[in-house]
Amino acid sequence: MVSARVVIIGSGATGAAFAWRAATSGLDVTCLERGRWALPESTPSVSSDWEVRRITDRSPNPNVRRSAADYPILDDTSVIKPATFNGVGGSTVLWSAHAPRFRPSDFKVESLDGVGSDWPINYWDLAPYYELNDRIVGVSGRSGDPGNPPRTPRQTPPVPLGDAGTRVGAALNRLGWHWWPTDGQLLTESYDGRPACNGCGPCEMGCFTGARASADITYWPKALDAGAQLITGAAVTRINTGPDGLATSVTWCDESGDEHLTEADVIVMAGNGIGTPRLLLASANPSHPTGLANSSHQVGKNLMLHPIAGVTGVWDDRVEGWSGNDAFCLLTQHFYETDESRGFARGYEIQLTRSQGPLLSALGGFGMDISWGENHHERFEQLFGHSATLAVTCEDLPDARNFIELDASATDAFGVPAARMHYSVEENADRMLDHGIASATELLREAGAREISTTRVLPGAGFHLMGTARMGSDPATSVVDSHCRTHDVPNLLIVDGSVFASAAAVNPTPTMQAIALRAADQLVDSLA
Amino acid sequence: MNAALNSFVAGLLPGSDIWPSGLEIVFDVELPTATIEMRQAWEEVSTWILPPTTEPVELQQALQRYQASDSATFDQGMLMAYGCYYSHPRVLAVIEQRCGYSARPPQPLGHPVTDRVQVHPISALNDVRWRLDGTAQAEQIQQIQRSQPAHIWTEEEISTWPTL
Repeated sequence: MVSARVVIIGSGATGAAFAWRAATSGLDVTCLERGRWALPESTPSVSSDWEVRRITDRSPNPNVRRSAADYPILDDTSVIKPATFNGVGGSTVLWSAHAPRFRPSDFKVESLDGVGSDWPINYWDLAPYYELNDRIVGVSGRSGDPGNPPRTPRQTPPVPLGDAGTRVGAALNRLGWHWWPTDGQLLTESYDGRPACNGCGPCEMGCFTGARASADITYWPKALDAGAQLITGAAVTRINTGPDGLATSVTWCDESGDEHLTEADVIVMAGNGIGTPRLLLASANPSHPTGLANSSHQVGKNLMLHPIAGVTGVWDDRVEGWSGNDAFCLLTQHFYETDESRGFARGYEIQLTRSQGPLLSALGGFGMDISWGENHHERFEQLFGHSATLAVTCEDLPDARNFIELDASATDAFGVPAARMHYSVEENADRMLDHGIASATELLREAGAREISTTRVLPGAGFHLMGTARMGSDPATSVVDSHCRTHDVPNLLIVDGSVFASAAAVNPTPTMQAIALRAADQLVDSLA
Repeated sequence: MNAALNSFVAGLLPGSDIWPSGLEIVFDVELPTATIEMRQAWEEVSTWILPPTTEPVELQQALQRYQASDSATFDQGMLMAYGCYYSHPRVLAVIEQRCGYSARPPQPLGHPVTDRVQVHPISALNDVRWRLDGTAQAEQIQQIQRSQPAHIWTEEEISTWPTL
């Protein structure tokens, strides 16, 4: 049995997974979380003003939500706005649970396509950890997709396609495009003490029943049972280092503002692609004048978000888009890999999302033209329940114009400067968006939609936060090694989406969690 | 009641013989979670110079001018008005009658998909399509996937992949 004091900063998807794996291996684990437990029974989906709360105090955008636990993220320099949550479970509390995996090529973008940078690990290194993660969180889906490497049978069957899904699936068959029922961290049958989804719709407001996975109900009960300690209301303000340059402790403030110091042998950052670089940069000291682990000057750089287009189809008859989980049921990866004839490198996936509730539909949903005034209700009746949206998720490449930096013009309650997001859609992704919108439009027409509208870049889709402390073999160009150890401070690990060397064109959470589980095992091995 | 807010709400949601007008609904509702921006917009709209509801054409034109000249306030004010309107039981009852959407919150009953499809009608997928990454594992695993498409993989098998 190994022994070490491990402090994890952040209790979200990756912090929770790491905590469970490390505690199970006998390490002395303490996790510091600046938010609190978000109890499922407090989910607004049981109240009549649920949709209002989706755009106010339960908004995924911390600058709208303004929770006491949130830190400021200045976003007027970003075309995509942040979507994060601070609380036990992190942003998985407010996510839609779409859980596709990276493909093997996603780890080799430089050697295969001459763009971005390769990871020092590959798909096969992570595959066992994808499986382990699936077993812990419970995944609905169907194995056998020939568009991806094999995987084990899913824990529960896939979510139902519903009316629009059946139409789009049939259209994909006629077009001869790849498609498959999507993996999701959402149960369609009871599993591990959690119930099946009842299809209420807005997963990203929080799950009342617990059918949708979030780290607070999947990993944390197991981690606590294994002996991990979780301190909530603990906002870390800096990571401290000793004379040898190693990390020694973290300074944090409780909700009263009282300062605490927790010493550790190993410190693990799991704060997300904005919070992690923010804290590393804010922890600069004379030994690390540009910020911790930043001799490469890559901390905060290479921000990748996935520009996502929304292409909405409207059918003459009702497709009851409010039935079922709202974010996914099928996807096509027909345009996922590079085809030089398309004029861009890499590719995109298209997933079918269902429609929104009455309020958001009345406000236009994903780009629908619904005016106020005399014709408002007539138009509402034409649209509500008659639409579904294809989300075109484009691979982002690292770009020097996209980064996170500190901005002292605003601070959190404890004096730590705000993070500022700089993000614009880079040229390759811009061309990809054109192609993806055209493909989605063709698909919706084939599926019988009579009216199609497009939102070129969904402005609120800043939920995939990647690349700001990237993994690599060369300390001059990367922040962490293949074990998630920072090159500069070997007892400081980063296990969240910051370490992504490439973004792929899929939701990152399963890959993040697999990386965190693998990093925990490698830490244990290194201590043995 | 503030005359400008009255006109604003009436202009946005005039109602019909089926749908209640905004004036019948919006001022009955409190939105305790409304954001600062929504509340500030509501205050700002209350200072606008708007024709009375008895002049609908002029009112629409005035609102269009405000929407063009101060879209941020207009949009936030609309969020407030629509937020009140579309969470009111009377409006939800009309939606249920006209659109089939149950007039209740999503939980605890949910909105289950009724045609619960377990066998998806996939027909366009007969060949393995993922791209090789230059590793030996990819070659080996794809070969098995092609030759034994019905093979059921286990965690134990997959745990050997890193060292294949």
